[in-house]
Amino acid sequence: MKRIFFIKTAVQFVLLMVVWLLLSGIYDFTHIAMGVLSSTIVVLLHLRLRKYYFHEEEVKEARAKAKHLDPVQLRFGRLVYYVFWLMWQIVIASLQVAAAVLNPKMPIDPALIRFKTKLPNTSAKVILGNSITLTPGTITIEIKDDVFLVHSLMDASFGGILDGSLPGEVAKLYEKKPEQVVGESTIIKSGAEVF
Amino acid sequence: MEILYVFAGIFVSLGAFFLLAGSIGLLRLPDFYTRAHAQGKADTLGMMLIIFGLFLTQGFTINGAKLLIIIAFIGLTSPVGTNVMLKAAYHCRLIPWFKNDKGNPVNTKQEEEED
Repeated sequence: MKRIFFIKTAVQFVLLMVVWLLLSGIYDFTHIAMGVLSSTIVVLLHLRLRKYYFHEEEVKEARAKAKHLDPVQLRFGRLVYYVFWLMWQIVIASLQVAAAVLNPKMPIDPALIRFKTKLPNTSAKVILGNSITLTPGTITIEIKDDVFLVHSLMDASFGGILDGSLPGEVAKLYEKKPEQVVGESTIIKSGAEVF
Repeated sequence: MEILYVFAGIFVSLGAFFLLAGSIGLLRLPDFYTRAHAQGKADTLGMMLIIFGLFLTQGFTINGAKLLIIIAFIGLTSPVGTNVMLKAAYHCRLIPWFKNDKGNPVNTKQEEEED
């Protein structure tokens, strides 16, 4: 299992180095040495995060591959579709939020939403969390195991999360036909129920 | 070439509009959580639109590719920054502002002062 960890670290270092070389465009000793140094620092900073959050899954994935089972893998074609779909969602939601903010009456109604999800791995949760934050009107506050805590600005903002369309798209990045992704959810609208 | 500059101008203006809306929201919204919405979001789209407008003036050159990479970078890092700020606020037990909320100590205090 240590071997997988080592290989993944090496891959990460090589990718960082390739990006550095492409972006710098100057190939003398000083610049390449600076690239090696900064790539090393990034890998070292990232090492502990990978050890505690992602290593288990990497091992699980490798075991599934060894047994010729279908490992849970990111589908890149779907990812391209997802990025454009998400951009469209961002534009719609941005207009909603801008309209609410510029409206003299300011029709906002903040709420905290706690909901359970069924997602295959940590990466999927990170993608969902970031997508929720990227969509204006909703911010992920916390992800604890499978439970997401989301702050939303208006009632119109969290509709797309609770009816399962955004989490569903994320699940489709990994599986062809995901089950019901969003589990039980609670909507909090008073300060006494927050903690 | 000329027409591309017109489109670039449209994109940069749209981006500036969203940045302005975000800044107005930052001043008008009631508490930390809601202000993070205005600051972190309208800004994300505003920055992306402005940089995309600049990309149109450059076309598919090395500089244009770098601008596209910056868009991807903002898209990946901006939500993480917003999330970390709100997580810190939540762990410090900052109670969010709610509409029609009688239970919130902040709101009740204000009402007493108004009486």
